[in-house]
Amino acid sequence: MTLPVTIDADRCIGSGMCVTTAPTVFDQNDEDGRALIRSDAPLDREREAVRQAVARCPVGAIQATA
Amino acid sequence: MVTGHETGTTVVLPTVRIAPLDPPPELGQLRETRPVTRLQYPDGHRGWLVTNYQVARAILADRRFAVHPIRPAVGNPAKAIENTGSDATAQAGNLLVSDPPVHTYLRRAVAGQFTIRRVAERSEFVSETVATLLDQMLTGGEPADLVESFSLPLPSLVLCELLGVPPSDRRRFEEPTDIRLNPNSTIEELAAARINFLDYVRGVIEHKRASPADDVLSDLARNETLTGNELAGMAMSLFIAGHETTAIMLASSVYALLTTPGRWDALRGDPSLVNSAVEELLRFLTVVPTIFATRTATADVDIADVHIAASESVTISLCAANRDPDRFPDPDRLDLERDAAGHLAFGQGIHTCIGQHLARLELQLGLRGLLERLPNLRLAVPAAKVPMHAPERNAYGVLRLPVEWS
Repeated sequence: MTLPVTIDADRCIGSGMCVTTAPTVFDQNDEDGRALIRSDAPLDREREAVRQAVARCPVGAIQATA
Repeated sequence: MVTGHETGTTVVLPTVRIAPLDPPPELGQLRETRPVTRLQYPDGHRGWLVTNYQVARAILADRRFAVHPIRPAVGNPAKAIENTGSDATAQAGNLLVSDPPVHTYLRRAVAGQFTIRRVAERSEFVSETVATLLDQMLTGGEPADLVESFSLPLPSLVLCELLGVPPSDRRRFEEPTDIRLNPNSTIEELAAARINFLDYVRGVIEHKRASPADDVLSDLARNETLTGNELAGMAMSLFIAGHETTAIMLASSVYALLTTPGRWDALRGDPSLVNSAVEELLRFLTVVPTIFATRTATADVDIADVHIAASESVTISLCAANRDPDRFPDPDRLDLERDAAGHLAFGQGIHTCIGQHLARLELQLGLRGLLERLPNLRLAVPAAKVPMHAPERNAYGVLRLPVEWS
C-alpha cells in the first residue's frame, strides 16, 4: 500500500513542525529529529492537518498525494 | 541619520524605529511599492532587499541561496564579522553560518536534542525555574528590572541545565553577549570577548569528555563525526542562541502586553490564550538578529518580477515580512486571538531555529507564571522611558524593564 503522505528524509531537518501541526500523524526519531509517519496515523481523518503540515514544513520535505 | 534614504532606486537598509515595537516605517513603504528592491551594503556592493512575506519565505526555503559569503546588511562590516567570528575556526560548527553539506551533518548531530519530545521533558524544570525566579523577585521587592530578575535568568538557567554546566556559569556566556550587544564595544573588545568565550567553551568540552553526563554537550562530545573546532563552534552558538533572543523576546512581550491597551487584562482573564498570544508576539515583535537573514544567490534566480544574479546578496527583512498585510490582515495590531502560525520569527528553510520549541516553552511558561503570580504587573516608569537595544545591533527589544506588581 502506498501512503498518501511521504517524507523526503534528505530534505528533512527535524524541525518538528509537522509534529506540532499533526501530532497523531507525525513523529520524530530520537537520533536526529527527522520526521516519521506514525504506523497508527489516522490519515483519513487528518487530511486537513496533513495539508497544514505540508504548508508549514520549513523545508518542503512533506508530500501529500491524496 | 542613516535611514532608508534613496539613491536612485537603491536603498540603505532602514534601521531607525519611530515607534519602539514597530519596524522602521520605510520598510512598510517599500513593501507596498517595491517589495524586492535594490539594497546598498556597507561593504560597497549592491544586492537586494525583500520586505514581502511570500517572497521572503520562498527565498529562505530556496536552496539556491547560501549564507556564504557573509556580507552584513548594516553596520561596520569588520565589526559585524567579528561578532560571528572572522576566521574559519570561529565559524566552524556554527549552524547559522554553515551551508550544506556541512550544515546538514552539523544539524543532524544536535537536532535530536531539540525534538518536541525532548523539549517537553524539560517543562518541569522550566516551571520550577519560573517559580524560583518569581519567588526571588517578590522577596526582593519593588521596583525590579524584569530583564535582570526574570527574562534573562530564565533562559540562561534552562540553558545551564540543558547543556550541563553549573548555574554559576551564567556570566561566562552572558558577558560576551553583553559586549556584543553594546554598540560602544570596539573591534578589539569584541575579539577579546570571543576568545575568552572560546576558551571557556573548550574547557567545558574537555570536562564533558573526561566525565560525561546526561546533557547536550556530553552527547555532542561523544560524537566522532565532528572536529574539535566544529564541536567548540557549535557549543558556542548554542550558548548564544539559547539565551539572548529568548531573554529579549520575553521582556519585550511583557512590555508589548502592558503598553497595548487591554492586552494584559485579556490574557489575565483568559490564560488559555497564552499559546496563541506567544505566536502573535513572536510575529509582532520579530526580535531576531538582522544579520542572519542575508543570503547570497548561487545561481541566477527570477523571482517576483526581478532577476537576482548569481553572487548577489539578498537581505530578507523578517520584521517587515511578518507585518505584510497580504498575509496577516491588520498587521500592526497585536491581536492575541489571531492565528499567527506561519510567521517567520524563527526563520524558514534549513536555518529554521533549532531551539524554537524550547523558546516557545520558556515564553509560554514564563508568561503564565507572571500572569498567575503578578497579576497586577505594570511598568514602574513611563513606557517612553523604557530603554531599547540599539536598533542596528543584533537582536532588538527591551534592554531593561522596570516593573511593579503590588
